[in-house]
Order: sequence, then structure tokens, then C-alpha cells
Amino acid sequence: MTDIASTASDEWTQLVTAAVLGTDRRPLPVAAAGWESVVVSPDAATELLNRAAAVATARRAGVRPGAVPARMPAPPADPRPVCPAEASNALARLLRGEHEVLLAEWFACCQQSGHRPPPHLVPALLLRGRRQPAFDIVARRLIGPLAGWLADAMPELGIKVTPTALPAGTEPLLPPRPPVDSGAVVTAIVSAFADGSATWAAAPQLRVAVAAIDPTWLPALVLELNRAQFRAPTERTRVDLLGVAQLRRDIIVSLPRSDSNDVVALPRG
Amino acid sequence: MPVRPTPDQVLSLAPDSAAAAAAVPVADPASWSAAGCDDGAVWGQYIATSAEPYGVAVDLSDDVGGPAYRCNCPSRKIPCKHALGLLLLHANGNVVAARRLPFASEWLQRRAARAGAAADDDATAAGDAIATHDGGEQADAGAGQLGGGSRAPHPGFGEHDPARAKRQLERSERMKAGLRELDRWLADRIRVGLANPEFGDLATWDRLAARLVDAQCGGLANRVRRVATKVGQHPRWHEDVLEEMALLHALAAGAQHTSTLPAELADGVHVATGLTVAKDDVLAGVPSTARWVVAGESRTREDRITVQRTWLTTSPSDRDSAPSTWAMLLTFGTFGNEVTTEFQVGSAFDADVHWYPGGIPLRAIVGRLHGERGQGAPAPTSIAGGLEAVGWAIAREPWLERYPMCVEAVPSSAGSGRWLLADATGSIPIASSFSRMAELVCVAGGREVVIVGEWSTDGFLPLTLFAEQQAVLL
Repeated sequence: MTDIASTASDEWTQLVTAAVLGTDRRPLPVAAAGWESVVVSPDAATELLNRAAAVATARRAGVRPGAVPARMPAPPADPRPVCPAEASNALARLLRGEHEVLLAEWFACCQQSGHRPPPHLVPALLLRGRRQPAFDIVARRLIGPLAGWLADAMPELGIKVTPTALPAGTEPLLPPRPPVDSGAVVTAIVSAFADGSATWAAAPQLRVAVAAIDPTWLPALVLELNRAQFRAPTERTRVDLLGVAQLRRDIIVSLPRSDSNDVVALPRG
Repeated sequence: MPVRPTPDQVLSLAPDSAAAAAAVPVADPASWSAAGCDDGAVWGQYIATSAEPYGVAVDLSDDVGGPAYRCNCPSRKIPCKHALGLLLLHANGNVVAARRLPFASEWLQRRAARAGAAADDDATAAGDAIATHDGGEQADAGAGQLGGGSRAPHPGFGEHDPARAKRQLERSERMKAGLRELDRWLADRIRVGLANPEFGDLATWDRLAARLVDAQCGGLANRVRRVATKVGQHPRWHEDVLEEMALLHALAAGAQHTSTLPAELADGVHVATGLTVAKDDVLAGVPSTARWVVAGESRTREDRITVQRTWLTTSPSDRDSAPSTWAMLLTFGTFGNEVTTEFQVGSAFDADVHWYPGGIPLRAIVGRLHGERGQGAPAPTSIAGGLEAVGWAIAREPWLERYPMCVEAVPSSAGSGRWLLADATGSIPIASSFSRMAELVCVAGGREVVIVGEWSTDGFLPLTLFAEQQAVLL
């Protein structure tokens, strides 16, 4: 008995050649040992397809694992734990473009709480950093050794092993400094709703203000925004600011400072 | 205790993309009063739009077909945007634990009582769905699709319906004629040769596909179009195309002789050529009852329809007795509608699964669900073991285009941007169409991870990553 595995590739090669040229131009070659048809079709083209179907099935069904490749080096150990799921969900939302104004705060909180970003969001962070050096330098500090390792392991991503140097005069991405009197800022935001000047055009400025105030003032702000009267021109801004305030609170609560236990007490609902 | 859903999971419950989009602004804490939650439910009053607040409640502890919803808004969508918005609010952590509001606790108690009754008596299940509907409540979202509550009485095999038999005969004749034409077309191409310049002319392939659609072999028409795209794709395309043509020929020739084929093979040929099997006939078959893990989902576009495959596999606890079995649930979305599924990847449930007829058990419908839903992860095999299962399946249905695998393997570079998955038994190439390789490499970090994916002739397509008790969709 012939080993049909060894003749399969010969049979396949001659069938492919015959099919490329066409059976009208060249007679069908005799089947390799073990691959003869049980019932030979009188039509050469049909006979070729019959025989090809048998070999094709054997080729597909006989798929075998390839050689074991060299193992890629593991990334340098990182003792920091991955951030909790709530924080990771918040980062995923920020990276999708929701309330982006809070990205800097997420980074700062994560840094202070001693966590690292979840590995499945690391490529998104690094790819975004390719065009924003100020973002890149902070994100890489947080990602740690995984960044350089990934750049080495996947050169096709086009990520640099070390962050791009910041152009002169640019600051790394840092959360906005809280204003001297956050209470006054809250009052100003609320009065912008009272006098109707908080239109969608004013939203970017207000968003930055909400992202900057001392977090202890967030509950008061949420309360006041919830109380604000419904007005069509300011409604969109109000909903947006509430979203920023809520997400900011979520970030702060899910990534508490590791050196102190003073988590900002916030009312919910 | 049910875990808090993530926003993505909540949005996947939406009946369509419009409902999902509408739910996002509803999930605004300012629009809600007295929103609260406990282990099994979320509730609240939506006060933003109307004089009378809507009482919204979602039962998360539900064990039949996903969460159940209650809202007294006039929308007919299930779940409505208020229920989704409430869940989103909950997912974003804006709902506090509280005592149940009177309307919520009353509804939840009624549900609990009915669930108890339904467990005793099958027949109440159908009536339950109707009663719930009449009561102005929106409940049991999944039950209709699952066939659990709305299963029509099966006509029975012995019953004779002459009109139906005639229609089937006509259809089968049309399909046979279409397949004969396909076979003739294939033989003609082989006669003139694949090197013939006309061979790459897409219009001839399209005409063939259109004729197959007319012959009601829609599945094969899509397949013919896919083969056409392989022409000239890379220097060795002749091999790929001959393989596909040979398998199409096998199907077309097999369909002319189904009466002489073994019963299972004949069923496989019927299904592959596009003969539809009535859902009730599938549900009338003997089910396989087990604990199933939702291991992954993949989507492809076919024509203007989005096809979603949800892969279920038996839970590790059953593994000792038998190797993992797989079931594939198909859902379709037409005309730009999002496909929604009631099964979240990473969840597990006890259920009866009914397989469609065929050479290998793969496509299936979920029948009755038993017990609670929970979390689960599939049991991995070695790469060699996974490929052996693929080979076994292809030997029975050579025209199979994809087959699921769950392996514990480490991603390794094969140079020039190509990647492999490898374990001690060998390696398997990753499909070049896979776009989230960086995420996979990062999460694995040079170690073995449990990956669920689909084998295909283009390579392995990773779908889900199970790491640290969490399912990451790729």
C-alpha cells in the first residue's frame, strides 16, 4: 500500500497545473498512487474537479500545527497592579472621545494611586501618543516598561521605543491647576445657567472649569446643576457638564491616592 | 449576586442602534428621581419629559433570556430607552443601593411568584408572556427569540400538508437546476483554464452568483462572490481558487444525488446549498442539555446583511467526560441595523441546545434555559488538539469555512508583521485580517493566554481573550 500522504502534494501540483492550462489544451495527467477516482467521469474537466475535491478535502482536513517558534521575551516585570475595572472602563470611555478633558486627571489619579493602565488599552494610548508628544510622555510614564517592550515586539505599529522629546516650551499633559477659589467658580458656572449664557458655544470653557475645580466642590456643583431650571438653549451644556462632573468623580473614587485614605465623600443618585 | 453590567453590555441589549443612541442621554442622573438598586434589580422614576414620571425597573436576577424590563412609557421597544438609560446609569455607578420603591417591589414580587409557577407548569409560560404584555409591562425580552415562551406547536412528522409538500418540491427542483448550472460553469472554466484572461472578469462571477440567488441558493451565491475576490490575490492564488472550485463542485454534484448519500451527509449538503430548515423542526429534535459558556462572537457582512455568529461551548465542569462541544448561534441584521444578541460573551447558562441537521453538530438554537446565569470561561485545548477537531469536522463537511477553537497559547512574531499563536504542540498562523494584534500581544505579555477564535483557510481569527476572570473582546 502506498502512503497517500506522500503522493498528495504531487497529485495536487499536477492538478493545479492542469487547471491553470485548461483541460482543452492538455490531457489530464494520470492520478498519483492512491488518488485514482472510484468512478471515472468521461468529461476531463469534471474528472479534474472530482479529483481536486478529494485532494482539497485531504489538504484542509489534514492541517497540522506549524513548528514551535522562538518565544518572544516577556516584558520587564511591573510590580504595580492593573487599575480596577471601573477605572479601566472610564479610560476606555475617555479614549473613545467622551469627556476627553479628563484624560489628564485620569493619568494623574492613576499615577498617584500606584496602578498601571489595563494592558488591552495600552496600544490605543501609545498610538494616540504618536502625534501628541505632551500626551505621550505622560502616558508612557504610566504604562511603564510595557511601552518599550511593545515597540520592540511590534515594529509594524510605528511606535518609538523612547518617547519623542517635547518641543521647547511645551508642558507635559497635566491636569489643570485648581483655581484659588473653587467656590467662586462653581457660583460662576451656576449663574451662567441662571442668566442663560451657558449655551453650547460656551461649553468648552465651562468643561475646562469643571475639570479644574477642587474635587470637594463637585457634589455642590452636581447638586446645583441638577436644580438648574430647564432651558432649551442651555440644556445640552448642562447634561454635558453633569457628565464631566460624574465621570470625574468616578475617576477619583476608583483611583484613590495610595498615601492617604481621604476619599472625597460624594452624594450619589 | 449579579455583577454590575458594563456600559457596553448594556448597549448590546438595545433592540436596535437607534434605541441605544436614545438611551445615552436618558442616562443622566438629573433626569431620575429615587433611582436605587439592590442585588437583583434596579429601579427609578424618570422625571425629565412628562408630567407623570415613568416608573422604570429592571430585574437583573432573571434567569430566562436576560434581564426583564418594566416601564410605563408608550414605547413598544423592549427594552425601551428608559430601561436602557437606567441600566446605563447603573453601569456608570450612578445608582445607589436603596430600599425598593413600592411599584418596583410589587412588580418584582409578581415576577418571582410567576417564575415559581412557571417552573411547576410548562404551559403557563406562554400565557405568562401574553399576560405580561396585556398588563402594560415589557418583560421577557429574549423569550420570543429563544423560542422558550413562543414555541408554536410542532406539526409533527406524520402530518401531511399537500400545499407545503408541493412548494418544497418546486423549490428543491429550482435549486437542483441552479446547482447543475453552477457545476457546468465550473467545468467550463476548468476546460479553458484558470490562466485564461477572462477568468478574472468579475462580471462573469457576478452573473453566476445572481443566477444562484434566483435558484434560491443564496448561501452559495455569497460563497461564489468570495471565491471571485481570491482571483489574483497573491502569486499562488490558483491553488486557493482550485480548492474552492473543487469544493463547490463537490457540493453541486452531491446535491444531485442526496438520496444516495448517507443521511447526515445529505443533510449537510442541503443546509450548505441553502435549503432552510424550519426552526420548529430544529426545536423538535432531541436537545443537548449542558452548562454553556458564551465563548465569542464574530460578524461578517454578506451582501447587505450582517451575520453574527455567537459561539457557545460546554463549560469546563463537563469536560472530564467528553471533549468540548461547540454550538453556533446565527443572528442577522439587515439594512444597517445593529445585530443584537441576548448572550453576552463571558457569561454562562444551563440550557437545552438544539442542533440543526448536518454532518457535524454546529449551528444551533437555544431552547429552554434552566437555572441561573453566571460567568464562565471555556476550557482550552492544545493547538494540535484544536486542529485535530478542525480536521475531524472538515472530513465530514469539506466545504466548512470556519470552525471554532479555544487554545491556551502565546502570540509569537513570524516576522514581517505576520503573527502566530504557539504552544508546546505547535503553532497556527493568525489571519491577516485580524486588526487587534497589538492588544492581544499586550495582554498576553509573552505568556500563554486563553484565546477563542475561528479557524479558517486564511488563518486563525482571534475573537475573545480570557484573562484573569475577564473576557476581553478583540
